[in-house]
Amino acid sequence: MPTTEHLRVERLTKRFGEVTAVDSASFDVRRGEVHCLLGENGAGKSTLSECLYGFYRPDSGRLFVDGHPVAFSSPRDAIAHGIGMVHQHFVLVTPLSVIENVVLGTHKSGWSANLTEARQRLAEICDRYGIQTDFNAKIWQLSVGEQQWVEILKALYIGAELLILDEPTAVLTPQESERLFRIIRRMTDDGLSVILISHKLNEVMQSDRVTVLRKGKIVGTVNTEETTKSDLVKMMVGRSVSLKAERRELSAGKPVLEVKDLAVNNDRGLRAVNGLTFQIRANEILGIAGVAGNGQKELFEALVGARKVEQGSVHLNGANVTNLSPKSMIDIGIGYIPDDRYRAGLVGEFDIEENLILGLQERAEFSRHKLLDVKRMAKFAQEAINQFGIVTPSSKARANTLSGGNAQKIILARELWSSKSCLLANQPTRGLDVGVIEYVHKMLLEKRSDGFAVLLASEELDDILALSDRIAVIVKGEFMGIFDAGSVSLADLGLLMAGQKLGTSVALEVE
Amino acid sequence: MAEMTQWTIVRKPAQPAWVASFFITLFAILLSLAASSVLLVIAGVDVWEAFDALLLGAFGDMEGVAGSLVKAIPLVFAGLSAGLAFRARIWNVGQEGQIYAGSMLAYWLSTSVSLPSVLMIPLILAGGFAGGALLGATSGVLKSRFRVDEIVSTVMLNYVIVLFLSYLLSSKIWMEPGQYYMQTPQVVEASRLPSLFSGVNLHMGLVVAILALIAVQILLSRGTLGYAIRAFGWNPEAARFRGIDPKYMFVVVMVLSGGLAGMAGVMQTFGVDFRLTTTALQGLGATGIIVGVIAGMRPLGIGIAAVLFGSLAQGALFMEVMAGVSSAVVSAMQAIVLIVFISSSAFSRYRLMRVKSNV
Repeated sequence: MPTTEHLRVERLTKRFGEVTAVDSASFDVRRGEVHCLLGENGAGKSTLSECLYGFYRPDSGRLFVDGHPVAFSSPRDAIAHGIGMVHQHFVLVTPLSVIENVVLGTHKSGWSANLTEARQRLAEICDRYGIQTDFNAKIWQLSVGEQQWVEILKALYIGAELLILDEPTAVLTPQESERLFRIIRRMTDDGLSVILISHKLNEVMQSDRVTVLRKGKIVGTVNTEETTKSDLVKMMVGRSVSLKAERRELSAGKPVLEVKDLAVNNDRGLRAVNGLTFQIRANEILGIAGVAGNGQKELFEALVGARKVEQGSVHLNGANVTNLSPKSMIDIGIGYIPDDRYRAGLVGEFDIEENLILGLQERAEFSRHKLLDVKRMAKFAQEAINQFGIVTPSSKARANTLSGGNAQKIILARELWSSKSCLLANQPTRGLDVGVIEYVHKMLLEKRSDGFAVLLASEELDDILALSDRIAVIVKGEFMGIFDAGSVSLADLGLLMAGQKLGTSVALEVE
Repeated sequence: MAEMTQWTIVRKPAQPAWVASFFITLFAILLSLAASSVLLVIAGVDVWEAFDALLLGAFGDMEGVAGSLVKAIPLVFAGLSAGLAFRARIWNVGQEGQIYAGSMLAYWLSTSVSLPSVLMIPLILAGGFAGGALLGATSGVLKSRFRVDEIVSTVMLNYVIVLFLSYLLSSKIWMEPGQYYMQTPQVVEASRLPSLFSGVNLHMGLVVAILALIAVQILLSRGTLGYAIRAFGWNPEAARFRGIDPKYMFVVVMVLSGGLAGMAGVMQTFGVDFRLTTTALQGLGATGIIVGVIAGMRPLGIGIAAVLFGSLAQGALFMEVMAGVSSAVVSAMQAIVLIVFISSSAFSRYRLMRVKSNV
C-alpha cells in the first residue's frame, strides 16, 4: 500500500452565506492510491473537491502538496501543482475533435495549435495507460462514456498527477466502469493519485482508502480492506439502513396498462423503441433493466404523451390512449417520475408550492375562476413537506435551491397525489441518497399494494431486483425477454443488458 | 512566503428583491447622469444648463408633469407588451408593427361607424387591442405551425404593416382630401381620449394604463395563465411534459403581447396626435422594449421605467429649445440609461473582490 503523502488538507472550511458546506475537514491522499470521498448528496464532497481544484477558495484551512503549503485562487493554480479534475458535467466543445479539445485551453495553443506534437504526446499517454480513442473523432459523435475519456485525457495532457473524478461512473455502462477502474489502476501503479467521488458502494470498495463525509464534516478515513459496505453506510447516514424493502406477495389484478407493438423515434428521428409489447396488471411492478440510452427515455415519454407514437398502441384500463396529449395523460391519472428531474419534472425557479401543482394548476383544488388559490397551495405544500419529509426552510423555497433528494420528493408528492391507476418511474433513484432510495422503494411498493400498475426502469439492478414482480431487459429499444422476478439472477441480467441471449437452460417467458 | 493579490468575481449573497432594485435604480440613475454629462460636454453644451432645462421641462410645472405622463402612457403598454412576452421567453420584438396595426384598426373603426363617445372609446380601445393582437397572432401561429423564428417574423411584419399604411396614405385611400402631406384626416371628436382634468393636457389613457399594469400584475402573479407563462418561460420542456402546450403558449402570449402593443398605438393616436402618419409612432416600440427589459419584466417596474423615459422625452423637448441640445443626443442618453441599467443589475449580483493568497 502506498505511504508517501501527496496531498494533505488541514481543517479546511468553506461557507456559503449561512451554510457551512465543509466544516474543518482534514484528510490526506497518498501518492499512488485511489482515495474515495464518500457521502450523501449535500455532504460536501463536491465542495471539498472544488476547493482542492481551486474553483472555490476555502474560508480557512491549509493545503499541502508534497508537503509544501499551497493556496489556489483559480483552477489554473491547481493545475500548475499537478491537480486535475473531471467534472460530472463535461466541458467539451462538441463540434471540435478530440485532439482539438485536448489542446484547447492549454497555454501552448495560441492562435493555431501545433497538433502534430500534441498528437504524439497524447498517443504516448494513451499508450501508457491503455486508453483507446480516435483523436480525430468529433465530440458529438462520441458516446457519453467516450467523452469522459476525453476529459481524463485533457487532465493528463496538462500534466495532472492527482486526478479528481466526480462521480465518473454515473454515465457509464457496467462494462465501461470496469474498464475505467482497470485504467485507474494502471495510473496509480504509475504513481498518479486519484480522488474518486462516489456514492456507489460497489465502486467505493475498489479503492484503497475511503474518507466519509456527513453534513460537511469528515466522519473518518478507513482502509477499504478493513471495512464493509454496511459499515460505510452507517458512517455515511449515521444509522443503519435496510437496503432490502419489505415486499408483500400480491396476486396481480386486471390488466391496467397494455402496450402493443410500440415504436417510438428519438430526437434525431431514428427508431429508439422498436416493437415493444407488454402489459402491467394492477398490484404489479414491471421492472425494466438496462443501461440508460437504450430507449427507456423515449418509451416513457411516449407513454406520457410527450413523444409521438409512430406505430402500435397504448391502452389504459381498456381505453385507447395512444398519442393523447401530456395534459390528457395527466388528467386520466398517469403518474410520471422522469429520469431528469430538472428537465422534465420541475421548474427550478418555481417554489415548492408552485412545483407541487405543476400540471394541476387548472384543477378545482388549486384554482378558481382562472386564479390560483394560494391558500390551498400553501396548505397542500405544508402537507407534502410533512408527509414526505422534505427538508426546506419554507414552502416558498425555490426548487433549484433544494438537494436532489428533496427535489425528487416534490415530484413524488405531486405524482403520487395526482395519479390514479398507473405510475411510470424512469430512474427514480438516480443520484439519490441511501435514505431517500429506501423511501422511494417504500412509496413504489405502497402504490403497488394500492392496486396500481407500476412501470419502473432503472440502471440500478438493486432497484429492479428489490421491487419488480416481472423483469424486462431492454437493449437498443427491444426487450431481450420478460422474466418472472425469481427466475433470473443478477449475473443473468448483466449478460442480457450487454445484449447476450441466455442459454436454453433459463426458462424464457417472452410475451 | 509570497503574497499574491488579484481580483476575482464572486456572487453576492442574495438580498431581498426590493432592496436590490432600489440600489440598482439609484446607482444606475446617477451613473447615467454622469455618463450623459460627458456626452453633453463633448457636444459642447453647458451641462448644468442642459440638466436644468431637462428637469424644468419634465417636472417644472403642471404642464410639464402632464406632458411627461402623457409620453409615459404608450410606453407603459409597449413595455408591458415586451415584458409579458419576454417572461415567456418569447422574443416578440415587433411592438413597432403591432402599435401601428392597433392604431390602424382603431382608426378604421373610428371612420366606419358613428357613435357617441361613451361607446366609441371602448370600441377603439378594443379595436387597438385586436389590431395588435392580430399581427402578434400571425407571428405566434407562424411559430407554432411552421417553427418560424418569432424574432424574424415580428421584425419583418414591422416593415409590412408600415408599408401597408404608406400604401393606404399614398394611394389616397386614407389621405386627407385636398392635402399633400402623407397623413390621415383628424379623427372624429367622439373617438378622442378625453382629458382627465379641465385645463390640463392629461388624457384618460393614464387610467387605462394603470388598470393595465394592475391587470398584468394579477395575471402573472395569480392567474393560472400567468403561472403557465412563467413555467413556460423558465423551463419550456418541463412545462410541455406537464401539459402546458407550447403551440398554445406561442399563440396566446403573442395575442396578449401584440394586443398590449396595439393599445399603445391607440394611446398615442387618439390621445395625442389625433391622426395617423407613417412616422408618428416610430420609436415607441423600441423604447417599450427598453422599458420592459430595464424593469426586469415586472409590471410595477414597467410603470416606473415608463414614467422615467416619458419624463426624459418631455424634458428633452425643453432641453432642445433652451439649451440647444440636439434630439440625437437625447436618444443617445436613453441608450446610456439602458446600458447602465442592464449592467448594474449584473453588478448587484456579483462583485469584484480583491483576494490575497498567502503562499
